[in-house]
Amino acid sequence: MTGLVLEQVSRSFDGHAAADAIDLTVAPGEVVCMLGPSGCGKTTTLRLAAGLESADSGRVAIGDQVMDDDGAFVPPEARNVGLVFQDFALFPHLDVRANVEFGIGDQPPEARRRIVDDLLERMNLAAHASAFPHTLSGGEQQRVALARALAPGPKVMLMDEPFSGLDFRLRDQVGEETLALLRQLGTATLMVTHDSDEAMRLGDRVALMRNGRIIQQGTPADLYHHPVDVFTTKFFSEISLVGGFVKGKSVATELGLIAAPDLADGTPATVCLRPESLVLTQGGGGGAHGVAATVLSARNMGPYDLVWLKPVTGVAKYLARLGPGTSPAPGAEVQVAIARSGCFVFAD
Amino acid sequence: MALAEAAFDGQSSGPTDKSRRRSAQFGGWTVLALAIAAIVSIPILVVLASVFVPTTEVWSHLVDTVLGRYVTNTLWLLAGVSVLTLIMGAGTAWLVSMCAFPGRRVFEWALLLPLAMPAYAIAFTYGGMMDFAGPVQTALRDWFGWGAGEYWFPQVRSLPGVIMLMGLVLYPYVYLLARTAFLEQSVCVLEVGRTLGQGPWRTFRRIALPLARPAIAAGMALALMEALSEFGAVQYFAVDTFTTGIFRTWYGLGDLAAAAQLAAILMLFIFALLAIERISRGRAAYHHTSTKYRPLPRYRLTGWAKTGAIAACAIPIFLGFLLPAGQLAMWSIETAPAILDARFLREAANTIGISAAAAVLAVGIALVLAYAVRIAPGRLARAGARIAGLGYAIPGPVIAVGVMIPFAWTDNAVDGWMRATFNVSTGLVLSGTVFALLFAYIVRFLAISLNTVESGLGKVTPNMDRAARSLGARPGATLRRVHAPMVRGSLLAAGLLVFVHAMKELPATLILRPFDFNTLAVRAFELASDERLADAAPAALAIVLVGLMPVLVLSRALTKSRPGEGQAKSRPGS
Repeated sequence: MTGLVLEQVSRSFDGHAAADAIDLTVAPGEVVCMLGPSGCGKTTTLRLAAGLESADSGRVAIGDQVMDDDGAFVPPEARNVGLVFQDFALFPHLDVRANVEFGIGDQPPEARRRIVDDLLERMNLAAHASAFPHTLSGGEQQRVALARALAPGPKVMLMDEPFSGLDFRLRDQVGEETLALLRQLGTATLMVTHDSDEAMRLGDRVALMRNGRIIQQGTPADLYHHPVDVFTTKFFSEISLVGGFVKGKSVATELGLIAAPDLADGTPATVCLRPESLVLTQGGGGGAHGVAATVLSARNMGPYDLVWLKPVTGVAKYLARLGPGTSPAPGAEVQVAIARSGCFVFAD
Repeated sequence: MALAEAAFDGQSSGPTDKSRRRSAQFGGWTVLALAIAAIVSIPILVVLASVFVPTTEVWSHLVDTVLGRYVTNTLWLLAGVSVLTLIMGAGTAWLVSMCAFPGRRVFEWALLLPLAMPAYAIAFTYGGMMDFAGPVQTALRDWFGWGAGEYWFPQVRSLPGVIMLMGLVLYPYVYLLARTAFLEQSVCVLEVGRTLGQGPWRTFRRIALPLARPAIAAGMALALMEALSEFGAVQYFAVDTFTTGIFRTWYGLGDLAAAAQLAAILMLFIFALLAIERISRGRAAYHHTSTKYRPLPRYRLTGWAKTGAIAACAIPIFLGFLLPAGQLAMWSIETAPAILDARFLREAANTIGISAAAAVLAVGIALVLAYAVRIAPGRLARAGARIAGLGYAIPGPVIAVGVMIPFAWTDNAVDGWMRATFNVSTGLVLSGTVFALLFAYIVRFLAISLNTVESGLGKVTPNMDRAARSLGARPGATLRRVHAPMVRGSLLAAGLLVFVHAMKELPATLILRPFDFNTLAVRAFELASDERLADAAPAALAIVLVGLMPVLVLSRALTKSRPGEGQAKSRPGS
């Protein structure tokens, strides 16, 4: 049993490839987050899955049924997919109950009422059944949009930035509740977002896109700990970048030698340092492990501190991350060493 | 509705052949929009092309004798109407939007009432009231015991009189747009002005007024276009302007080419106005930078300021609507028994029939254009829609001439060919028929329906279409279940507006109507021209009463237009 399958799906507009050979599978009950900067093609991919666009080439299937390939195309109304938009797109001329009922008009009235009542109850909307959309808060409208999409019992749920219209305090809670429900119903969920925190928090798997291609997909931990290039590394945290050449299986930097066991000598390379890979030892002087550096500034961010520093003999600035309240004062001299985790070397 | 299936990419349910489906997205709708634009712009192009036709003797006669007077009178008319509409329109808009004084809530909508009064109706009403034998002078003579010729009384049948009366019925255009602009201004912006050390008066002058300037300019441009195209009032008062000149050149001198050349000059005025309007909003951005709205704190007026504000609002309403409407009602009571005969009913039926036909057609065509822009959004479809909407800026007599020339040419060509081939004369097929009149109405009023339909359709966001389709609704069902209920109100409003405008239309109707085909507007004007003012009153009053309907719609829309206010109470989708 499969949920949503995209195989080598491509679509271009005016010669520009918005989606380029996309391979993506979402299993029933799984949540996949499509992540990327604006214009990377993630919304086009979602629309291809929904049938709002047709593919130039490749294959789209839902369950065991082919939806779009070289021969045939199933229009959106016959695909049984749920769609939730950033702007919710509720029908303003219908009340909450009629909105939720919209997609199940072919069912007998008794079944209709049961489905709607059940969904409104689950979504905590029972009290608003006869309210019109514009009288509801953002969170309530979001829940109506979800209930409306869920009413026909879709196998696949497609969501385009579904939580970014919400107040940030609501966002995490509504997102987690929504996806818990979808997992429980066994719906294959593909969700588009530009927010890496949201993707890591909510997705079982993450597909990172750029220029119409999927650069990397895997679990959030895969993408964070084993990024395939500088772009991917940069997408999940602030990083410090250093350029250099590989010599003897390592790259020489201001902060010392960084191991690059897989790269040939003479290769130009970029070193990416996540803030947590910089290990600081307080108190300057000889003997201590690492390179001497001066603290430029430090700031507490709540659960952690961010520290900017500059090697005593260097020019570039580096960002380090420490436990809350443990950062040295600006001007202090520290020893900096590089930890293996959070440090990546990519050939240019 | 044939629109339904094509309205969404031409896709239907069930697996379909891909290549066929793809090609359906292009072409059809854009071509349709461009075809409509081409047909609708024929009259305008014909008039513009007339500039290149060699001039006739009539033309040089016109240049020698009357052209100078046309230009001066028209310029004076424009200048006078600008000043009056600016003072009355923007002034009252500011008073009712920013100040608190007794009667403000009534004035808010009552200030729109003169919009229902056609200029030719107010002209002959005042003409009758202010005449030597009219009620005003008679009363003065009775009170003061003056004899004939022993006192001075202003002549209303003059250029200043026309300016005064047109100002009275045209200021609501400025009022309407200025008030909307004042209402939309974020109180935050005004409060920033206050915190930066500006007093209330300086805040108005330096922030509120400049922010509203594009709206005021747009309102004045509308009012001036109406003034330029006004025919009945200037003709009745024998003030020669371009519109009367065009009419007389064609009707009296029978020279269509010279009439078209006059019309082309008139269109230069219109294009100049449109350009000024564009430039006035061009350079700065007038978007509202804040989205926070709170009810505006009003300046509470007391003493003389209060009295002055009440008078400033009451006088335009009284002079522009209550007084002339009252006079029309009194005349009607007097003459209705004699006038309301079979002929009046036939003319009323004519009016309703042709106005309703124009309304239905204009809304239908607007719907096609609006969907063309929505479905095949491209520069071509959009340009087509804009060109099709150009007719509203073109005065009625100009459009009439522009319709007349190609229709007469076609008729002659068809007649000549039929006679040569079959020895049968077909006579007039297009010109001098209801069809020509209907075509002119659509050319002139398509913009009204197009704007209303487009704004209604804009409320249906593309995501709503997508949501409906993903919920299993086919294109036809989406149109029926989502579009139709959301757009219905706008379609009705558009139809109503076109209906009322067509009903009031005078100059194009006079020129293009078939023989023995009278509308209420033509009848009222003809009777008034014969100085049978009381007899003209019932027809004019009927026009005024029907004209009140869109005014009521407008005033409702106006009170709801303030962002963030009254939304929770308002009905959804309305």
